Amino acid sequence: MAAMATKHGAIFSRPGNGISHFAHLERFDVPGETMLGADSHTCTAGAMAMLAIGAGGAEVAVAMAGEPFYVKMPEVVSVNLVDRFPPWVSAKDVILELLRRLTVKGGVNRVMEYVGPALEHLSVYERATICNMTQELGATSGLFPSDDMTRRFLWAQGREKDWTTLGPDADARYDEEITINLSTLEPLVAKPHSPDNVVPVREVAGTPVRQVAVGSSVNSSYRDLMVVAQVLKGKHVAPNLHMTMSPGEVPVKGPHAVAAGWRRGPHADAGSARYLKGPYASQRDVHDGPSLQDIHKDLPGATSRRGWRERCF
Amino acid sequence: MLLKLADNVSTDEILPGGNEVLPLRSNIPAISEYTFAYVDKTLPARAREKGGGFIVAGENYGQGSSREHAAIAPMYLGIKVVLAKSFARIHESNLVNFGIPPLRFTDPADCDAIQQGDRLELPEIRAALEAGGSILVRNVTKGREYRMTHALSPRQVTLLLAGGLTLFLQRKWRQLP
Repeated sequence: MAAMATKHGAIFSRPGNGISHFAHLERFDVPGETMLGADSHTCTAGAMAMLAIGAGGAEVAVAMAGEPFYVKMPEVVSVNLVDRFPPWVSAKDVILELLRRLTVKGGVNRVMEYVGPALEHLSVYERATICNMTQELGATSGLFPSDDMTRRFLWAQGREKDWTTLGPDADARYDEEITINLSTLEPLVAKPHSPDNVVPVREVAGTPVRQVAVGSSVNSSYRDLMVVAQVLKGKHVAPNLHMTMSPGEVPVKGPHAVAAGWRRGPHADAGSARYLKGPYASQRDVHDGPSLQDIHKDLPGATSRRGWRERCF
Repeated sequence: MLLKLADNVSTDEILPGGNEVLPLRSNIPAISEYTFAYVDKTLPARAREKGGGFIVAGENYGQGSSREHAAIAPMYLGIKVVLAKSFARIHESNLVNFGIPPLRFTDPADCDAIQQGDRLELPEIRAALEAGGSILVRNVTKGREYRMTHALSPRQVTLLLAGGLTLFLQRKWRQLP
């Protein structure tokens, strides 16, 4: 792969560089640009105000060879986010709430455009979580505006020069408008075997689990991992529990997360850190009994046979 | 008709990921043995026995990921056409790119009526795709006829008639000066 990338003038991201969507956010994504990727969760870059669309590998290869990429003109839906999260509610609950309302086909041939006063408080990583799982709605893409939060993120990456402001026109019209009041949300979880099988966490609280898999392309920023680390602080993972961790943003903050949080937390018990796309792509840990995973999906054969999915911390 | 499926069948169900399967990505004959592994293990063997066939599915077939092996492996097993109520965007494109027509039922009740093992014929599919009208499916077992349609762009129909994206581009690029 490295030789081929060199031959064709592409950048090869070496193993250990973290999950691709995070590497893109931190190193490459630029507001207002477009992106085509051979991964359905390419739309994660919508967090950087990019129209980013996932496609099949052949389609991407052909586009790299100079052929146009064709996509059916989607409808545009505005998702108006208002107010602030209550404790223990986070970005993943926003997208789970959308999945609960719209189902896995509710976004087909649509682009979800996230707007509203709550954006002032939503970090680029939280936006990335929402954009990533916008794919689970079946949507063509999802995107956020580029605002001061985006500028601060790029500044922190040493790329402030890449920032431009970008947002909806004052007279923008949408095919449909949806409002989510963040203050009314509660922690949500998707039960097997579809990401739209969403119930409040309280309905399944207390269920014994055999596996806990933290981190994936949707939900493994420094903050996400630190929350888990704090929960585990001073405790050990139960001997009959299999636990894994897949950090998303290794180059920038991953080592710090490991140093500051995870060594105090599950340390060796949390299994080896997997710098791939997460337990979903890098392994299939099939265990007997329920599995709790903060992954965008747990489909039969993809991760485990009986998973509790998409709980986010 | 080799396999009847419900709504929202994902690419992971069509071709699973995980440690066992993903290392085989470049080995199409080997990876095709895992097609529908968690849905119906017997499918690859039955497809070989019958020399290929058809798949019938409900709404939103191929949702989930962009995994194009979910189109390549069925192609390798001789799946000629997928008949569904609707398709997910990326998988629909992937099917076209690998020369498998994704056809949609004009009447969803027809989909419900078809049973696994029914003998289906698509006698005029090429002509119908060229002409742009509906596409006839004859259910020989049940003595019924269904009308299919598609949601493809004129370019995608051209790709299908060429046998897929690779063959289409081969032809196009050879004609360049």
